[in-house]
Amino acid sequence: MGKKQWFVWLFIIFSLLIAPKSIRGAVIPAQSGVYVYDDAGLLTDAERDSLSERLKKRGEEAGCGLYVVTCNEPGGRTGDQYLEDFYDHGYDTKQIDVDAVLIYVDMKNRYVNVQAYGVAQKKISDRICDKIIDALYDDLHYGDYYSAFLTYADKAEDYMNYVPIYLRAWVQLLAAFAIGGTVVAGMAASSGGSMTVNAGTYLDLRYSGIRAKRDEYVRTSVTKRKKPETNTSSRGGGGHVSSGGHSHSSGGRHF
Amino acid sequence: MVVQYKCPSCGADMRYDAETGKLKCGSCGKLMAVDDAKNEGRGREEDSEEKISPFRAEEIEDEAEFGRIEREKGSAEFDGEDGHQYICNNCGAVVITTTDTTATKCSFCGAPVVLGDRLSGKRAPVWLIPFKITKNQAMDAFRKWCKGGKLTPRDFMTADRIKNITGMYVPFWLYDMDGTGEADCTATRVRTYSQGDYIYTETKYYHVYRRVHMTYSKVPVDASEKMNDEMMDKLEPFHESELTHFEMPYLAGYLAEQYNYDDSELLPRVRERVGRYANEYLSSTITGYSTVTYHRKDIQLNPVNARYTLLPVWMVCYDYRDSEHIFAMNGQTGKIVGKPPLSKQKMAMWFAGISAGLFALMRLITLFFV
Repeated sequence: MGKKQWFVWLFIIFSLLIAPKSIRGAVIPAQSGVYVYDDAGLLTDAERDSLSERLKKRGEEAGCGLYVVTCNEPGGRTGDQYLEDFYDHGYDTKQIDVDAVLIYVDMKNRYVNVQAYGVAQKKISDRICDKIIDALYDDLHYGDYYSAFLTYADKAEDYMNYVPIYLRAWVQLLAAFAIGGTVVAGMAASSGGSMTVNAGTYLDLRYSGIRAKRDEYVRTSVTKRKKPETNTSSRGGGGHVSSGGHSHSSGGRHF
Repeated sequence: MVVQYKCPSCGADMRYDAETGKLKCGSCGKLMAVDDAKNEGRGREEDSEEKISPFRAEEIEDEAEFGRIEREKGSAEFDGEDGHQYICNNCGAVVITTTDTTATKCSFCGAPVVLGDRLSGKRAPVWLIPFKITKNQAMDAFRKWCKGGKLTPRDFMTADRIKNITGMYVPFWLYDMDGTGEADCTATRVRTYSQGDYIYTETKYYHVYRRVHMTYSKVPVDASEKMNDEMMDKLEPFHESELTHFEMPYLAGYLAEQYNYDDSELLPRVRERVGRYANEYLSSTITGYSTVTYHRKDIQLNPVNARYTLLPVWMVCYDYRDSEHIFAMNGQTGKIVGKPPLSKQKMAMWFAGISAGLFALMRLITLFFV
């Protein structure tokens, strides 16, 4: 392979590597086009429309469906169960996106719950579900539901598109340059030959050694700290499975 | 006093031969051991001058006065210290020397010349390591080295422009030093273990003391003003097992210089260097601890011996794009030092290659494994 050809190949590989993910995988659009299921009637019509707009837009940016679900009467279903059933049903009837982040507000028990499925499950772990709730908890607590849901849409998109600093292309490019520069500088510096004698070369061992030594024990100090809790949720999943058999991550609390 | 070594068979000039370790006649190939040669050396002693007791200059007044010509800018400066002229025994030409030269060759007839009086008395070397690498071996090794450079320009690598290669005995002082080192410190051993819900970190503190005796022998320091100190340091190690007592015949056919700095002038340099080694040695005796904090660290070093020694160096002068590059090769071990020219193109290639490779690898890991 000639030198020029080599560069062309390198260029092609690079372009693919830096390419935005839209080339790599297309977003499956939501089937029904409904993003807000406001059974509890927490929103006005105008609020619902503009919230739907926001959820659609953010969902496209995030590459998954974002849904808001509310109810007054969970029908005996507690905790995560209602939303799990909602997803199972939506999945079976193909009314919602397979990759989805959902928020659920149960007005009877004043309980809020965020769950993430499919692709979103990897990005939005149990811990992130909790963080999303943290961000909108106050609005929810004081009854500003519309603003809480808007925050939800923005936060979900943020976390879906979050890339840790060491995984960002420009950071990695800088790191690669830094290492390349260091290596070449090292090569240039050592091109003139280097010192190969060290502290031991001229030491005459026949006439050198320890004349006296003391190693006296003084005291011992012991410190203790709690073992960090093994955080399974940070690895995505978290072991929640809906009755329909869909694995997901979840976080919820009363408000 | 000019010393030249003549072949007892044919009368031609003899030179020291690195391959055989003997003097070799350039004409008939006869070999002669160094010990035999040292008695043979034919010197033209200026006997008559030395036996007359000198005039006492202060008692003699000037009998005439002369004006002096003005020194012009750009004219060569004459060194008044060395008025001594050396005459080649072969051809009678004046041997051109600098004040430091102790061995050279007659610039007129090429005969090897050793300047005996500059190698006697205080200026007599104690030891010497003879050349082990011949001129041809040195050239080959240098060519090979040039080709091995990863950053050297392509046209430099052909190495066909060795301007000259000179075998040279460089003056060094070999120092023996001994001394004592003391360290007083607090050291810790850290152990972690877990029990129940807790992780325990146990730190044991020790009061540690060390007193060491150290002897450093034959530490070389370059005593020539002309030689780059850093370059000479990098030439080490010279193997002391091949140190022999200095004899003049070894110098026949090579250049040699005398020292510009005496042993006391170079003492600070060797002290600094051995001090570093001693510090490392002292620290190395404190082992088995996680951390060491020094309260006191004292190192006392005393010079014991300093011996004037000539060490063999091949100096290679290389022309590349109108500038000269100087390289030095250890005449005993063949180690080469010196700054080769760096190719910007090659450096850029390496930089781009390494960076691109790493970046591609990092992207791959990011996209497929995270």
